[in-house]
Amino acid sequence: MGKKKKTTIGSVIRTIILFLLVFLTFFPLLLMINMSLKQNVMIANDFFGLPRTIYWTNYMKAFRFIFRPILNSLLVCGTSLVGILMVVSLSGYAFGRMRFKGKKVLYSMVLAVMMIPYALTIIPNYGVVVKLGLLNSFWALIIPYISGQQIFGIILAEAFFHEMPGELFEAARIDGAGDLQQFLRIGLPLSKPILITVGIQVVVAMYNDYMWPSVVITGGDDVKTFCQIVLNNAAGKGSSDLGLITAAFILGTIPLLIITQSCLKYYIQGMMVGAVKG
Amino acid sequence: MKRSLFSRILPYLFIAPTFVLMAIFSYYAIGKTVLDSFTDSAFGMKSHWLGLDNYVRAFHDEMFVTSFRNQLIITVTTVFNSIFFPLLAAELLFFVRSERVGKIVKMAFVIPMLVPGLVVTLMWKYLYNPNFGFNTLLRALDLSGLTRNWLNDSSVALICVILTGFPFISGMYFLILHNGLNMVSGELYEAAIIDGATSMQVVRYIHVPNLKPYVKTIFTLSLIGSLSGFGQIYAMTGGGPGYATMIPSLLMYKVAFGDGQFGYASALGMVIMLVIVVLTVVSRKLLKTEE
Repeated sequence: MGKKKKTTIGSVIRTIILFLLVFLTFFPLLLMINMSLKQNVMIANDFFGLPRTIYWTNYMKAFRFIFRPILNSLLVCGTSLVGILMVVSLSGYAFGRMRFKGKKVLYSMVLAVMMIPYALTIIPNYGVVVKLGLLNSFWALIIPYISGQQIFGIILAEAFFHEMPGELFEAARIDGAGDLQQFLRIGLPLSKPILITVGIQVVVAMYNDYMWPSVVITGGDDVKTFCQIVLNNAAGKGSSDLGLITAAFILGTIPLLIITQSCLKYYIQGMMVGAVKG
Repeated sequence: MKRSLFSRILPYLFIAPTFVLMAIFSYYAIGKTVLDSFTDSAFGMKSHWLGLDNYVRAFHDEMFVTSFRNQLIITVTTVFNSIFFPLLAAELLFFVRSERVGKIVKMAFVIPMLVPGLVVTLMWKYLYNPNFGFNTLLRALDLSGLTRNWLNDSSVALICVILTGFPFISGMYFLILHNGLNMVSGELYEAAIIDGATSMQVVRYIHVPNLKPYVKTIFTLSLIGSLSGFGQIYAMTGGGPGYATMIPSLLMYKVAFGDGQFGYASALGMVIMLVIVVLTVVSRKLLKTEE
């Protein structure tokens, strides 16, 4: 694409469509910010209008009931994330880099899990959680999350490790490094981008989930997760003040944005590596 | 070269945690569902063997059949939207020459991914509200006749559910395609430019053939995702009004946790899984032979 071409009508139209797509993608989010700064009466009367005076009270009130659930969500996501990254790097490395009998069959047993519908696992897993006595504890979320979210991560990590240049490992082997050392000294440190990609993907998915928490976390509001509270509110349990609710939405979105913003660069790169294999 | 015992069992140690977890939460789930699907298992009750009764009941269950029709419509549009719109955005971005604009646009499509999907879904629900949202817009345009209770009107509810999330640009699918376009060798473009190719010709003769593997990936991911997920409809309409937006997995969830009929719900789950497996395998086969 070296040569510069003149601005044509075509390129102007293309740019306009592109920015229109960006605007439409952001529209619900802009609307959410706008709503959160208005009083509830104003939302009903003047839905799209900008706030005449900024109504910060929404945020003060929302903070009081949404802070604890956000903390719960972050705690659950953080703990699960550690577990997921551990199993993903181990299994991804084994399938992508190591030789062993039955690898193909075992790997297809991992892939097959992708085809199990989410709804189908809810009933039996509920039974498992009850039997393990985990109902209404965060472990009822964390352990099944590690199990469910690892699959996609393993697929990405397998592709990543598989495509790593073999010379790196060859050199280490000549230096006398065993299989375990090769993983710890070469594979693991170099897999940072793919682990960040997997990390963002799974944290977003777990933070977002409300079906599974609504089944296993049925106790008081102080153990519920962010999305659970949001859903309850939207279903009419709790406040019907839309200004308040949208302020809570935004408060719940901010942690994810802050946590991931330094890692997004890696996410964009990482998606490149594993994408074709899926 | 002889390998020590340790290095021979090491791979199995590496994958052991994965398989222990899958055994408890995936394989056991399948086994239990298969068994339950032949019984009248219900919440807190002793179950009896029913044979194929649950399956016979499922195929005569009008709701279940309707929900599959809805699912078909939703899945076909979802898969199309998941490919078409991110591809459109990636192609448009490809021809943007300013690097800075390119970076900003790329970020702009990725950031919304970090907003919880439930939050976005509920924002759409507010837009479909009978008292404000789109109806505010229609009234302002003097089109009050067109206003309606969107999600409560069985003639439009399904369309509203399908349109939720427009323009459907998922950060992940966009990135996959965007990276795919950049993976194509630069020499191809230079040759094309020397030959005086227009942008449409670049798309037709360079992008279309080279993007196939990426499009296939998105096809499979969005197909499985659409067949397996039901959270969005659960939050939006709960399957209503009536059964206008009901889909099989949501029906299964409701039969299980609303009515407590685990046995029948398991049979519904098995039928759903069978459909997913068949569709995934068939579509993968079809996509492969195309090469």
